[in-house]
Amino acid sequence: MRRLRAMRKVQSEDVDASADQGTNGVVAVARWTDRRHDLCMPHLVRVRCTAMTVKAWLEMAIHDAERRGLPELKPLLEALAKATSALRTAEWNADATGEFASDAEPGGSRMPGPGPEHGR
Amino acid sequence: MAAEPQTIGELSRALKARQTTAEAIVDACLGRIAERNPTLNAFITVFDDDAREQARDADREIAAGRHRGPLHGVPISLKDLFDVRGAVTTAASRVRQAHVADRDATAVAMLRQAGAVIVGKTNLHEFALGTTNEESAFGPARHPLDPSRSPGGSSGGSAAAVADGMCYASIGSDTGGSIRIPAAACGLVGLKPTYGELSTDGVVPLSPTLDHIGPICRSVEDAAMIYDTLRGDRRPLDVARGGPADTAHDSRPLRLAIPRHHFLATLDAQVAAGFETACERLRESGATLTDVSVPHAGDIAAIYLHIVLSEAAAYHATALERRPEDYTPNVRMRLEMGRYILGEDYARALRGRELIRREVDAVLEGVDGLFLPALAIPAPKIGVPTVRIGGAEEPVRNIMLRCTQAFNVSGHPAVALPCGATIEGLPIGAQVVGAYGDTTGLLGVAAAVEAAFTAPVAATETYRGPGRSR
Repeated sequence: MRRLRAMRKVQSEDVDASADQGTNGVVAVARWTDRRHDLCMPHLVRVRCTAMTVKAWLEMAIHDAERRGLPELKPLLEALAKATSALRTAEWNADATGEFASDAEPGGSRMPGPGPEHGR
Repeated sequence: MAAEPQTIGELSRALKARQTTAEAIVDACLGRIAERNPTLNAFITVFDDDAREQARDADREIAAGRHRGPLHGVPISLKDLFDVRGAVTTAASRVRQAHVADRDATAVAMLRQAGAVIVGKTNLHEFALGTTNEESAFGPARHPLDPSRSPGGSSGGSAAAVADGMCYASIGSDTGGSIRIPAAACGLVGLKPTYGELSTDGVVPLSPTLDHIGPICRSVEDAAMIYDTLRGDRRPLDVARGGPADTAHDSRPLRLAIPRHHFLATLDAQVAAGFETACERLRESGATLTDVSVPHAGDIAAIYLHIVLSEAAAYHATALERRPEDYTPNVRMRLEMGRYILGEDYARALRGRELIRREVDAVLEGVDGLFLPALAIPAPKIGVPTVRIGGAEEPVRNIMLRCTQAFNVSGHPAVALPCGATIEGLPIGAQVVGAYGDTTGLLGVAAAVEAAFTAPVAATETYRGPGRSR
């Protein structure tokens, strides 16, 4: 039986949801040291495992743009984040759990991949 | 001497009948370019000597009874994304200043085979990434009716050149509306065929899965003749009609569907009124118009943005690292924005594209085409980033793409054609969208729509027509 996710508008929390809420796990990440006498000795740096939310992505992107000397990218990235949120919350997205199967195709059948009739 | 031919159909008949010569026509176009290009900035490169030589060759062949077809001896320009052997393909960018093409683009080679005279290469929004033509290494192209306004874009120089009588047609590219938007802004016909029908070989890409090429010209018939040439079908000119016979729609009344939801929701008041007047003209001609809805039309802009910016960023990444200062600032920033899009979001956009394609297929069932505006606003003032519509400020770029980008996402063929004018005399454009893979059928429907508009209406009373403006 197919279950449908209710259609909804993009909500503000889709963009601004707290990235770390509900994620208590940690992972170990190997990172090379900057200290010369520690050559070839990786440090284990413990970082919090975060969901790849649009908010987290946006923060990283803005930080990277500033690092690259492109602060004027910030408003563009914020606008892009809104479009990305709309894309991610569209009810026609596929879902690995199978819980949110799309019924968005005209006629009500599950949407297949690219159709051969369109030559791609 | 008879009045100067206004369309390719008229010109081709006159050339074939030797009532005029290609050399005289090309001379007139080059004279117009010399007179008006300093104001309009429509051309980046003009091939004066080559064009005159090509025209003389055409006259010799036609005199010898070797008329190649409807484009033989016809002056045509190219958006400066198309390679012409031995010339710089600038893409209106300093990034390309050292580039010289070693061969003609496939489309250019086909035009030459058909005997067209290539008069020059036209200005555009840098790398076709914009709708106003304001960001160009060569300065903005300007609207022939009001040089303080944009001719639309990205093929803005092409539209300005055709509208002002500098050439009879121009070949542009269309990734989100870049043929149809300037055609609508300048009162011309612009054709975006079905995706993949016409070769983009030798054309600087913007987004290869959204890029199309096609003509900007003065009639649907002219568009059909160029389309046939570019797909390798050079049928002899039908002298009675001026174009290939199968562009005519049969005598059955047109059945058109209007996707009001989303596409007509945010229109300039004069554009909305002009479009409704056009609908009334169609009803008076016997057409049946019904309202339909593309259910996920509201997702189209997000889908489009993630595809176009990702693909553009892939093409430009190396140049952005090596020569960032050679881009205009806004184009550089938009390209940089694309470098931050995640692969998973690009994949979501591709999935969304398939959905939109099927939904457009569905609303086309049982009708001859979709009918909607081509451009939500009249030609905007240069340098103005937003427009006020219904009490809200809307970004010019977003609003200009609103009616056209859907059919780059879906790949369906679409034609823009003039349908009215504002009280200031600025053109209003309508758009007809046809079944996927049936561009020829669409051209027949568009010709019937155009015919319904030929009786005196606001457009022809106020706007005096391509090449006769001012």
